[in-house]
Amino acid sequence: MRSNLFFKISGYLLGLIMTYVLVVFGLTVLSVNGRPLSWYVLENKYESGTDSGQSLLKFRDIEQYRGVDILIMGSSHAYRSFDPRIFRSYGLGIFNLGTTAQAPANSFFLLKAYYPKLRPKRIIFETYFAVFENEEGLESFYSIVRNAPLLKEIVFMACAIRSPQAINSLLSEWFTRFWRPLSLRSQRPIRDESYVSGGYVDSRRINEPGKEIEKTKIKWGSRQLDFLKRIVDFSKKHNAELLFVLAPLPERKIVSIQNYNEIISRFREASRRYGVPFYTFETLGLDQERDFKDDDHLNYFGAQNFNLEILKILKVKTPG
Amino acid sequence: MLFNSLHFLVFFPLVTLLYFAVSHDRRWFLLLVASCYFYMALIPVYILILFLIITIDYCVGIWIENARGKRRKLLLAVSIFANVGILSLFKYYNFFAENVLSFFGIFGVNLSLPLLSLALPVGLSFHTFQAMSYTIEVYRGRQKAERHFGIYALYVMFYPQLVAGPIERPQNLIRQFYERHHPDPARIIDGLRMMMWGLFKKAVIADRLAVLVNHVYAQPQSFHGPLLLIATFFFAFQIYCDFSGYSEIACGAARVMGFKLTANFDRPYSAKSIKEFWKRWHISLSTWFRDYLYIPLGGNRTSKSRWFFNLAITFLVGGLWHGAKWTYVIWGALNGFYLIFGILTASIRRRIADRLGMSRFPSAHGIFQNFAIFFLICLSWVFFRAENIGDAFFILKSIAGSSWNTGLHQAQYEIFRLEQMGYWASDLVAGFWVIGILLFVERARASQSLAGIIQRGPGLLRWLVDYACIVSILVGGVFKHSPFIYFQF
Repeated sequence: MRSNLFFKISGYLLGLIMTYVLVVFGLTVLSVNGRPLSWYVLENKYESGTDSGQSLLKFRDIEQYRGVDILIMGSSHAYRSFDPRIFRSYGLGIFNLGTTAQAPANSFFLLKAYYPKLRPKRIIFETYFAVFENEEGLESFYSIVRNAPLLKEIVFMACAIRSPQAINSLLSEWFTRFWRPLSLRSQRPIRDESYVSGGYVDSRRINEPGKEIEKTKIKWGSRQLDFLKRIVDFSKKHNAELLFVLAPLPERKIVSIQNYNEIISRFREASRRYGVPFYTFETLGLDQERDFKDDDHLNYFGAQNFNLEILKILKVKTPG
Repeated sequence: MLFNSLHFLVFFPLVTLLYFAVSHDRRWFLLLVASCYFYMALIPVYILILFLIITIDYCVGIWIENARGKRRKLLLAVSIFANVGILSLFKYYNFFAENVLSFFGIFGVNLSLPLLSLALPVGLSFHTFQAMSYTIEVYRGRQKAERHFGIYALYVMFYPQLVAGPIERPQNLIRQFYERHHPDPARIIDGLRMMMWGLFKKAVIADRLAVLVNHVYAQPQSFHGPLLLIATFFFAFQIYCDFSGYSEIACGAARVMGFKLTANFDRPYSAKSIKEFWKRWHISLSTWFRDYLYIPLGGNRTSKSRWFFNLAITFLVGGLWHGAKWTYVIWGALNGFYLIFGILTASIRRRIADRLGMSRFPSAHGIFQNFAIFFLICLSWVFFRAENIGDAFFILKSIAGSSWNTGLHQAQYEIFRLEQMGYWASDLVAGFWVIGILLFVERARASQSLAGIIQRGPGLLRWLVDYACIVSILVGGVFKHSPFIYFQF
């Protein structure tokens, strides 16, 4: 009687899993107006090679790197703020593994995936606070899964996000790779922006003058803080020096965040607790139009100034 | 704890397994602990407020039963005063104070009243109303005062219906805590299917529709008639699926353990009159107001003017129950007005229908009535959903026509702008699809024909229906930590 019930429940669950896999496969294979049905039904609207972080090129580029001095992790703030060309001119090898909306949960698994290859002596985690609002890290995952090799750490990332949408997206992408592998895909060019080897996105755009930003309050997600702690532990375990850095922001952006000071003091507190230095640059005296591409990100000109400051912190001697 | 969270996915099977594993006399304790944990997963300290309400009403219940004459009435007043007092303090005090200040401000009088910065305990309106129904029923002699404190606490705190109803009556729920429930497979499967359909309504329909509704209602001035109309239409189904989805999960979860909770919805949008709508919408609250406010005020067994007054008061209080905002008051008033206007014009409307020959085509007449009622309800939802009265009137004005001419041209641009915010035109189409699915399934469930075929059909057919529902939730659900709308009440 009991074994009969066990077989019935097992059969039910097996059938359910098979139906689920079949449905996701069907949604991936069938298309309408040139787009797979999965694009319409699933939440992930990212397409490979279209994200502004140019992740497709980044994950191809990273394969050429072995052993770097510094690894940069974080969101678009990271990949727009640390230019490997400047660091290289000072004799430092870096790779910028920042991806769109990358939250600590995403950074942790990317770090696990690429640390063995890159073995950085220093890890800079760019602490753009908006990503801490994102409890799941789903948006970043969507972009990563469309552009990165599906390593086991990416599967773990999908599970850690705790959303069926992450699993759907992973499964759908896995099916897609059978007939459209990453090697056959190309990055769509973005006007005034180019990918620079080492993970940086060079933008020559200038921020719109006189724009007003709506006032907001940043909410602090506890889950991402847990992952920040795991990043700290990982770095300590591998004897890599970890630094928290908040890249400069335009003045009007800082003013628009009502609890900016509270957030900074929270980072300071975390920095003290974990024994990780935290550097914040406020505006760094940069021009909020000329040195920024928009109200969040540095452009090429701003990044130049900022990187020289970072190099001072890293106490790197002037070349020549 | 949210029903649509991973937390609940672990909590529910664990509590259910333990419920059947422990002996009958310990089950109340297990459920009480589980309910405390469920509630404390939200704002832990507010359990003290709940405990206060429970203690007061438990004692008052026993005292009422033992008292005679006027003392009974006095004790009932104490219970009502305590419950309404707590509710008023957390929910209405600031609203009252702000309005008093603005009123005196008009005459140049600068009063000073302190404003409280208290977060509203989740589901406070639900459990205070449930607690009050207990003391009222004891007072009326229809319910014996519960002597077992744990069972009484469980009556107020039973986790499936703790934060958003259904608002149970003591006659239905308390006795069920004394019944022995065995793990009956048919009942468990039935309960799980209810939960599954509830989750489908919440994750696939309500939360999907919510994306457009939230975009549009956050800044209605940025949109023209067509999108405002679609957003309002979507909201009508969002709120229905959100709340009825919650109720189905609650009833299903209770059913798995062997409890039968009151059904809270009965296809409200199929109503052909406002009266019928209110018999089908949030049934446990409507009947609460009917039994404890409307009838004590005199109901309809009085003069016509007094009857209408009773209706107006009931609906105004009903509106205010939902929240301390003028938009809710207007929503309640509007529904009361519909009902009174319907009563006043019943004979005229019947004559017009006869003259137009509509009575010869009852089904066509029914469809017309159904559409008319849905339209009126949608109008009232505008007030319910809008951030303020100004927004509500703007939306109604835009839908009514002032910007309709340019609206259709503008809609294309507005959809383009929404796409930049991550809401695609395909999501809009998907919204209509899921509403279609909802209407089809609800009709099939009500007609029993399709439900009967599935029930009597081979096991594989039932499995396939289950799979369709579960896979739709997994694939088409929106999982963005979105609490149920009625939690805020």
